[in-house]
Amino acid sequence: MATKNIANQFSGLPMKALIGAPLKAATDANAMIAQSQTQFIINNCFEKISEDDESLRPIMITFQMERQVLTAQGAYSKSPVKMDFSIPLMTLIPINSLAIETLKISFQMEVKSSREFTRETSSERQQRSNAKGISNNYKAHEFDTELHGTLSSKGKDSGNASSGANYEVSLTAGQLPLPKGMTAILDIFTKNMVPLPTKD
Amino acid sequence: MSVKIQINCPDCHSPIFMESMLLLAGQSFKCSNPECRTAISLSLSESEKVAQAFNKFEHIRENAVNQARQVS
Ligand SMILES: [Zn+2]
Repeated sequence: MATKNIANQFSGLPMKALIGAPLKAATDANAMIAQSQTQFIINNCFEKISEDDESLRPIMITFQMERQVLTAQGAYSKSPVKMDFSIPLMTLIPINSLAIETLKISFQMEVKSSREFTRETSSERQQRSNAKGISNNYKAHEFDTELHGTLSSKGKDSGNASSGANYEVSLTAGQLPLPKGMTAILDIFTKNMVPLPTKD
Repeated sequence: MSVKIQINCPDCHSPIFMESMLLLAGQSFKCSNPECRTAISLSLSESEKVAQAFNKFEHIRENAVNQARQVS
């Protein structure tokens, strides 16, 4: 019953804002990064085919390739064969390295209900009785008696009643792989690399 | 900052792992396939073009890191 009451106390909390806001901020940041990456690729890895044409072609980068080849005798040649090959500039850019990889929202909330009580009781009774003479039988020796009595009681009740509840929310947002279209473009480029003999 | 780059070997298509700074410095990188005796290096005439692209990308990367910091 107590736990149920505690749980009810969570209902008023803006969970959407507490958990959703950082997640949304991360998504927005990722979207902004993706947008700047796209802009970067278009502006820096592509060039216009001609001034009159809006079409773009990838900027190619030339690499030199050296390969040792087997001679007729079955040994590797001393002077390696040199060739050139070109790859698009965009294949050299680690595009998928830009993203917020993991977002962990560790949200711990503790609600503790505590009640303390103290009750003190005290009573005092005083009685005073006066008798002129204890008994009439002793009238011959008349004397006064006086009786005093005190009755006191003291009590203390104390207690502590507490109950608590813990809520922990943990979210992990992972990095998405490269879009299929991007992978396909990179794949086509890779498969079409043709080494050509180096021009000396 | 140096970034890791991976391209496929033009001969055997195994991966070749490179580092941007070393690539710009003219170092050659061997194919990861031990059977393949291919090594590649950036043509000297291309260094400036590639360096420019890396610098711009680094700028975007820094912005991204700042964005991520603001979120966390
Ligand atoms: Zn190879």
